[in-house]
Parts: sequence; structure tokens; C-alpha cells
Amino acid sequence: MTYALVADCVSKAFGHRRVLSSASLRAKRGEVRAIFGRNGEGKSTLLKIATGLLQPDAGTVRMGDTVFTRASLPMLAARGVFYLPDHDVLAPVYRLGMQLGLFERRFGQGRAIDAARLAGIDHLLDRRVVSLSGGELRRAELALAITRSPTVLIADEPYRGIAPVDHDRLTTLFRTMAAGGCAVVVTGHEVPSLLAAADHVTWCTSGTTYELGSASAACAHDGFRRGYLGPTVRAPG
Amino acid sequence: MRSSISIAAPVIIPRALVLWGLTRLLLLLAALPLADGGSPGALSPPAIGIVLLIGLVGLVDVLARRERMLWANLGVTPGVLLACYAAAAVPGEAVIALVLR
Repeated sequence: MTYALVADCVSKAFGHRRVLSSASLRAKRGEVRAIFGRNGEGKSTLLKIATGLLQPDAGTVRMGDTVFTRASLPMLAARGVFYLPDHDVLAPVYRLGMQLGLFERRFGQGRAIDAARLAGIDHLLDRRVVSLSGGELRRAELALAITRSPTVLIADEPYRGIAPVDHDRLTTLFRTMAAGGCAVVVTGHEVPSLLAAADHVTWCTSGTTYELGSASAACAHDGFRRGYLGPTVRAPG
Repeated sequence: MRSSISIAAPVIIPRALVLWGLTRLLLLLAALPLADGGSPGALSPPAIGIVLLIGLVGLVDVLARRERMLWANLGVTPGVLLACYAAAAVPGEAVIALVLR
């Protein structure tokens, strides 16, 4: 199977603390993949390695047929990766419209105004980013990703800090991007929203990752239920 | 699709010029007490040093403005950012070198 982006069997330690021992991230075009895991299990570290922000102690990062010995985000971004961290993807002092315009001119794939409309922030284009609320900021960041029209979108806890009423809108945006051929990988603890969005679930625990399959298969996985979900969560639909 | 430098330069160079002006002003003020009646320009550090300094301070400026992720997602490397900051200092340093010669 060909994946758009793979971080394969990566390990990472910070000092004496080993966060990942053999974990993998596989982003597949046309799919939303959700990575679950308890705090401190290495989800964000895995995402940072996959996007070149951290170098692994072992393992490789691959994009298509290209294997990177030392990946960096600018290098991967030029090839179609967009990384949405949990903060600071937009520069606070510049106006939102100006930053969307940078992506439109640089990559020429999506129109900033269309992306802003889709994300529901077209009335905020003249505002400085520092003046946006948490929910507006998250939608503005997604507008940036839509303008970029990436082949791979890696989003770290995109649902965090936004009102539940906005979760559906976010899910729709992820599904729309995946339907357009983008490989979407998201993390978080907002289980109902993430399960509703996900085509595939990965469980990150004890320094490694388990591919659990669809949301319903994940919900039926005994270890995942005991180790992460808890007894009350049900599969969507 | 435009190159990363053509995207970064129009944003970075204006503020790099301000950074260069402030750095030069600070260096001049620092040199005044040491000039001892002579020209403070005689104590000016080499132009190449100033150009490199502006490039490095520029990278710190990018971090302080929390723009690292924006530029990285735009495919703009730290090397390109450093070059933009440093390039902004070159014309001014050339003029100063000519005046002091």
C-alpha cells in the first residue's frame, strides 16, 4: 500500500526518558486517520518527527518514494505537508488576510477568500491574529491549511479549546479535505468528534503504535477500551 | 507557485532595515564615549560582522514574533530567512564603508 507520508518504526528519547520505542505514523490520501493515546504517550512527538520538527533516534521518514535521512518541515512543506500544531501556526502581529495571501501566492493551489468562506472567517480577514478568539483562531488556522491545499495535513489536537458546536464544522472540513485527496492525520482526546471524523484509528501507547482499523473496530478492541476509551464510549453511528 | 525567497523577502526586508538601523544606532552610541574626540566611525566593527549579526538577530526576531511555524509551513528555511535579514544590511553597510574610506 502506498502512503503519502510515513514515519516508520521511529524511536525517540529525551534524556533518560524514552517516549517512543517503535512507533509508526502512516498518512493515506483520501483518509482521515485519528491517533489516540493518553497524555505523555508520545502522540505529539510522533507528529513532530513525521513533520521534521524533531529528528528520531532511529527510524525513517518517507514521503512517496523519497526517504529522508534528516527531514525538516520547510523541506516537507514544499512537497505538500502542512503541520497544524496546537498553537502558533499563525503569526500574532500580522493580519489574517495577509497570511492567507502568503500561502495563496506561494503555492497557488487554493484561493484564500474561498478558504476563508469555507472556514467561516471571511469577515475576519482584516483583523490581526492576536485579536481572534480561540474558536476563530482554530478556524483561521484551518483556512490556512485549505488555502495551502496540502497532500498531507497533520493536525495536533485540533479540537482542543473550541466549543462543541464547532466540532462538527471542523469534522466536515477534515472530511472535505480528505474527499479532495488529502491525507489527514489528527490527534486529540475529543473521542466522539474524532471517531466521527476518522476512517482509521491508531492507538499510541507504551512507546509504540497499534493500527486498529475503522472507528467501530477500534471501539470493539478490548485493549483499546480498557487502556484508553473506557467502558462507556460507543462506536459512532 | 512562487519561490520561498520571493515570498519571504517583501515581509522580512522592511523590518530587517529597521533592525539594521537600530543596531547601527546602538553601535554608534556605544562607540561615542570610546572615540575620545576622534571619529566614532573609526571604531566601527567590520561590515561583514554587522551583516552576519543582523542575519542571526533576525532569526531570533522570527522566534520572538512566533513566526517559526508560519515560515516552515510556507517552505521557507531558516537559511532563507537569515539571508533576507543579512541582505537588507548590505546596501547600508556598503554606503558606510564608502563614507569611512
